[in-house]
Amino acid sequence: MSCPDAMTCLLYAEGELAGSALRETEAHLVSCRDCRARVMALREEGALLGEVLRDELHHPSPAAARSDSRSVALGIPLAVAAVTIAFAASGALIDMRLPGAFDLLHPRRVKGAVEMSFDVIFMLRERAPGLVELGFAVGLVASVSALLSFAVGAFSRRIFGVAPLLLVALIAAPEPARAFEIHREPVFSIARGERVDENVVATGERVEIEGTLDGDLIAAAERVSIRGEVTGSVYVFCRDLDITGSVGGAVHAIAETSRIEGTVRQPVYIASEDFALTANGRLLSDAHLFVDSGVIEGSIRRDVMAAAERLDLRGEVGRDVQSPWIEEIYLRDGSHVGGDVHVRLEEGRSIEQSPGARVDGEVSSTPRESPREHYLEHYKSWRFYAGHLAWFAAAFVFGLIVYRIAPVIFRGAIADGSHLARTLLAGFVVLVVLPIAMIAAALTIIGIPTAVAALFAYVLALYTADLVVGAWLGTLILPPADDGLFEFGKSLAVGFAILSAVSIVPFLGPAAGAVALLLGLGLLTERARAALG
Amino acid sequence: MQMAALGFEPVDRPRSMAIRDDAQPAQWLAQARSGDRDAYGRLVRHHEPDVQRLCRRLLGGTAESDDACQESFARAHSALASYDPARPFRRWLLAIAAHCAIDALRRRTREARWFDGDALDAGALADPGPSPLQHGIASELRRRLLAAIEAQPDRYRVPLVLRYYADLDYGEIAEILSVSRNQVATLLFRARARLRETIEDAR
Repeated sequence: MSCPDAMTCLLYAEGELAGSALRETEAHLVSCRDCRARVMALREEGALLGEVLRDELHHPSPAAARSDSRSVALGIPLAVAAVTIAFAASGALIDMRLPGAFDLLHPRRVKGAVEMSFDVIFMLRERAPGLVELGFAVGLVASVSALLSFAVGAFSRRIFGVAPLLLVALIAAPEPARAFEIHREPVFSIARGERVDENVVATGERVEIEGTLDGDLIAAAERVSIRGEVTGSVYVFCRDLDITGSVGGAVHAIAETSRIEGTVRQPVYIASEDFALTANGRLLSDAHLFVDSGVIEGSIRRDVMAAAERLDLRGEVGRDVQSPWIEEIYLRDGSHVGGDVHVRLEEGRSIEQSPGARVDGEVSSTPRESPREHYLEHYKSWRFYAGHLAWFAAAFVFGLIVYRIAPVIFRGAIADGSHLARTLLAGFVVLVVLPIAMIAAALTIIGIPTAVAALFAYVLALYTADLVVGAWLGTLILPPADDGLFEFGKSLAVGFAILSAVSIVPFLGPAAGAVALLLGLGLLTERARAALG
Repeated sequence: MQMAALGFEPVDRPRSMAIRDDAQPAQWLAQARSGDRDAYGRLVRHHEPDVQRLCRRLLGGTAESDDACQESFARAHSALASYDPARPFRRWLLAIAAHCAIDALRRRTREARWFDGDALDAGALADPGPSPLQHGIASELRRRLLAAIEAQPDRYRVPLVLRYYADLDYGEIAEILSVSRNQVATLLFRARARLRETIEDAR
């Protein structure tokens, strides 16, 4: 059967066909993609006509229409502003009522997120075994973000040493996962005396290395114990990590509790609630610790860098002990530090040094400024404003280029309150779900090229989101007279300038930025859906 | 794809958005039908905005539209006994309001048969116009679309409002306008093609 004519399509879309005509059209639609698309488009158009006719602006006179459009122009940004203020106020309220609770969101204190992702993953394993893959992905996202923010927040001095390493870990981790078999059995073990000569990627209840693993170990499991030997590096995400054997490479771990009783030859990067280096434990290089409570009884040949709630030093550190953020630090009898001890403590606190503790270098502590004072400080620096201006200019030019290439991206607009809520929700979903999907893709399904492409798209979307919101704001305030680049540029400049100005307002700015990001991602999603479907 | 499969069902356009079928109006309706004047008053107040808007959409914001709105409720009250509870009340009421408004329009234009005239045969419909309008268009375009609807001559504007605002089906519209169902289809087909062209030109 050839395609039905345009009128038949309309009648079908409107539910006005009956009898044999209906049956024939239906039969045709099953096999014809074009007609299906046409019918869907007609239905959508019908729904649009209904929405437009139901809109509140029902006065035919142009003056009235203009005043209505102004009320829309004012109403939605006001709603956005309300959401922003609510966002900021609830944050401040939580902070006021529960001092410290808000700290969990602080980049230096992501332990809350890590803990939470643990609970989620292990709950999923028990309740919904099919979702373990998902849990794995969530865990990886948490670990990557935790490690990155750890690097940025805690070791800003050493960032250029740590960041590339993390990046390599991040990029390298999925590669073996794709190239090598992933072990998914509940218990993966290499028995005593056994030797495995390849990299191992394992996820399960327990991972036990009693024999020798001549390669890297990448594992996400409830419990990981290394009693034998791993000649390569170890990347783990687990609840309990126990190293009594030896590791030839570096250890990268996110764990609830971690204990090292054996030897690690390369640097150790650990984000953990409790960390213990027991009396027999020996780290032959640096230790980077991001822990709630850390006890060092064994020896560390080089530096210790720690961001910790509490650090208890009873053993030996070959060089310096440094900490940009620490609550309590104890140097016990019998401990020995070969270099300096330099920490930043909260005002009024000091390093607790027992008489029997030896430090060959200097012991010094500098008070940490309160986050609030520190927060306002950057407003005094011209660099802050120059940076914002440069960012504004670059993004503006980028916006013009994007408009030139694909103006359709900027056609999104918020129609009413419920649309606003839906857009925010869509933005949130994209913000959270896309990275998980990317990592899942990198690990299992299609592989790294897809994930890299998606990552690129994601970063691009994050960058464009503000522009989309700026363009929308601009069109409300200064509607472009035509579709030309100049007119668009004018309204983009106005909207984007407002957005940028709001985003640097103290305290309110970050919340406004978050709302704008969600809104922009939501609008972009909507445009993408419109373009694809 | 499941999504596409859903499209095969001969579903009507979702009407849920238009119907406010909460429990109370249903109760008032039942009371009104058994002669309770207060209940009818409440029912009127509940549906008045919808009816008012329909009359304004058809007649513009004039005294005529207020009259038509009043008349609709009077007519509906006297026809209440013949109301079939299986039908959505809003649609039934809007159909009556449409009758009233169309009568007023006819009086205004003094043209009893303004839907005839040039041939409304389907043969002239080969070109469906530009592709259908997208759902997610910007608010600026929505305003333009509404302006375009309001700028249409009555013969196109009225069926559009009856179909997409009042959610009436082709048969009901045909009955109100005293034309055939095919003619309603033709009018809507042309009206939509005209709107698409207007919007496309404006872009």
